[in-house]
Amino acid sequence: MGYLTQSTAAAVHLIIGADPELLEIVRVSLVVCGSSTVIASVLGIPMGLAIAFAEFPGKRLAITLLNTLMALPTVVVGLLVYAFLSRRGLLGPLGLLYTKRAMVLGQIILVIPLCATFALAAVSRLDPRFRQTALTLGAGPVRAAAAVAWEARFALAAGVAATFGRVIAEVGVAMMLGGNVKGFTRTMTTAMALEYDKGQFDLAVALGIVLMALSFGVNLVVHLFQGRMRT
Amino acid sequence: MSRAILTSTSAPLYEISGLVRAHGGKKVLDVAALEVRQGEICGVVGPNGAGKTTLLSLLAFLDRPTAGEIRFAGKPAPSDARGLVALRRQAVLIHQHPVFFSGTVKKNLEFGLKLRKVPEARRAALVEESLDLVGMRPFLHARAQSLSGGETMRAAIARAVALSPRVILCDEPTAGVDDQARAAVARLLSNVNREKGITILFTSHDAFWARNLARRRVRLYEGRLVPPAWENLFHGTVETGPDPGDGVLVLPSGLRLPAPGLSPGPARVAVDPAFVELEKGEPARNAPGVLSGTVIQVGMENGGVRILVDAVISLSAVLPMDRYRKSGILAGDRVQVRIPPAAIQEN
Repeated sequence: MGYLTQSTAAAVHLIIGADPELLEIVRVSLVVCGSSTVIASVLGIPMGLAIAFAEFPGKRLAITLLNTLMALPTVVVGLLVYAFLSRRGLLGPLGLLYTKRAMVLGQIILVIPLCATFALAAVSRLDPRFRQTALTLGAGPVRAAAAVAWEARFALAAGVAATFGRVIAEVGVAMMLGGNVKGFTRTMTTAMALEYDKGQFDLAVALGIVLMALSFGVNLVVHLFQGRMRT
Repeated sequence: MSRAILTSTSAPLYEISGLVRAHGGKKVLDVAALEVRQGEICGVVGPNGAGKTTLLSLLAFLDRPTAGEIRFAGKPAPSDARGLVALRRQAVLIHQHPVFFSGTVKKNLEFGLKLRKVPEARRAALVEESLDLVGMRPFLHARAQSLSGGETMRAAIARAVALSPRVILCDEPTAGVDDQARAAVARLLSNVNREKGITILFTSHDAFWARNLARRRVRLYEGRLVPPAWENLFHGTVETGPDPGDGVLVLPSGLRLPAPGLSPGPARVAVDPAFVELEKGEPARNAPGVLSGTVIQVGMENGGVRILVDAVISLSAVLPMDRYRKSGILAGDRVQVRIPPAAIQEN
């Protein structure tokens, strides 16, 4: 346990001293994970709403598939996207591999099912009369879906927070598609894995603290948003 | 009654033929034919599970029939999304327990107006006018989701009226509201119909309440329309004075019943027993529809009391229990019978 105490003390020192390496890693993580969360939400939430409201053959199968994809291992997504982005892959000439864009792409594929499922669950729990009311008052399908989404905004916000939590904590996609290049694609989780390999825990513990603080911060913001909008 | 004249002369708004809605192969609604005319108040009466809500969902174009056709204002209902949106804007459904979006009453009333791209100043005027109509103006800035049951229903009526649809479809508008609010809802719907000319089609499991609001009622049972129980049927000759509203049906016995709006000549009418008014004692004046008779039978019926009166003609009246108790009428009593024009339906 001694190393943990020592490392924690050193980690706090790094955080208070605003260590440039630490800040850079946090910045990369926020840029990559923030981008993937926003894009996945923009794509996933409408997808969830569409599945919830549209009647089409195979709807139940689509929902089962989405639920299954929620459990997708990060390394499987990493491998799949790597196959496309590697030099010999279909998208190899774009030169995306080991860039932030590749990481964002991989993370989007990873969390779209999660985001869509959250949206689907959020609006399915809502009273169906909300949508019928919007329709009978003259809304088209898109405007009615937007009205319903607004009524489910707290649950949707929780979904977005969970999506961010998933991407900020994942290591497989970031490592396999980002390559853990220092100052470029090194994120908090890949840096922690590396520091662990090196047997150096100071930075790893510091990053762990920041990661937890960030997750706490995001959830606190969601919680405050829910509280403020309800009163 | 202007409504009676409207009903018989105005164009049909809904023409339904062979309408079927099935869930999992089981027919929950099977209406062979039904017509609702523009400007009328029509009640669909039936017990819970009769298919009333299903019928209104179809008439609001929120659900598609399994088979059959709904013609609206002379045209078949379109199947494309754009056509359906245009149609829904003319037929607003008010749910049994209406829901409001989060935000103020004003914001909720503006929702449909914004969709119709009504300019802001006009929107504000329409919202206030509609709230005035239902007596809810002080609630303009109240949170819509915190209104009581009766207030929610009134606000929902205002929300529908603000959009000036051709028809308002009300699903069990008195469910979950107290007696006082029930009477208020009936008055409101009647006002909306009279002042705005909006057709009202409502459902109710309460036949008494429905009778007070709508001259024309259809009965739905297990998904099918059942024929009205015509009773108190009389035939005679309609005589009109200079004003057609003064029409009188003269029975072979010489008794005179009010028959406004009916054409002169031979006619057959039904007197709705729910509209017949009884009072102990002899009539104070002699006028069409005012008779004197003896109570020959009193019996309970569906939560009300049916009273059979011998007044030269044999006449049935049905009173709600509370009114019967107040009247103190017993078998053998002499009673004054008043048949208001609203009780008369041409048959």
